[in-house]
Amino acid sequence: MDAQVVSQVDSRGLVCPMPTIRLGQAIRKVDIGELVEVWTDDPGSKENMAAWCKNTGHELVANSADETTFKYTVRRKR
Amino acid sequence: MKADIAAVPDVQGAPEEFPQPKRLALIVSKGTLDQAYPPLVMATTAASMGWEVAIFFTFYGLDIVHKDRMPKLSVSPVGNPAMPPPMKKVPVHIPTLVGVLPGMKSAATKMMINWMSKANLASIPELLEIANEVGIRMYACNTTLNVMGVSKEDLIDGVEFAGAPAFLDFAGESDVQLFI
Repeated sequence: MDAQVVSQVDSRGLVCPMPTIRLGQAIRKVDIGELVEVWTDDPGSKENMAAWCKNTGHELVANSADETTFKYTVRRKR
Repeated sequence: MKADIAAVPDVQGAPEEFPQPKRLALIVSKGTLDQAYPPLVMATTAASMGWEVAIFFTFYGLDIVHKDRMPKLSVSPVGNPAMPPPMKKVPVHIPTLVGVLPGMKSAATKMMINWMSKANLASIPELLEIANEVGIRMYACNTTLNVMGVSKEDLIDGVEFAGAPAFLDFAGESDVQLFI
């Protein structure tokens, strides 16, 4: 886990809306400026994560994908 | 399942200025299992995105927040040509005349609960619990409580009571209004 990432949300196996709900719960538990990493295998996560960040004002700072998992890193901004 | 690497979006950065939270107003008038999912999924998702959400339960929709009826929400194969065949290998839809037989509603309901569980979709009680946790305002329509013979004590915790004017007041200042 990235040293700056203080919370990791493993949403693999969960379908919409659970990944964003779990992310919403996790982001409230970290301080402003800290990072939350989300793991998901939801193929719709591209649009969902972008929409979530646009609506909540938090920042999508990194993403990656391997064979089975999309990973998104989000910074709490407010 | 193989993740599509090409589908990963570019890092977008944070919005320059953060606007007022958006608002979602839902009227929920149906009390079947299949019609309980869409409003609760939409509402909990909106709340997770920072939106303010109010759900107005009316007529049969009151069953979704009814302590005794909520765990028994069901779906009927009768009059529902979209109900998938019970067995994938035998692509035969349930004819209406078969659908009326005793036990068919229960079988269709179990089938749907099974799909939801296989898809790892949260159950209705779980979605209602999330709705409470994330601050979704849930209102039972005063007038239809009386019409449907439901008392306030019959409803789950967290449900408030309001009428059409209160809903319209919220809906009038909302960005999205849906009747389900």
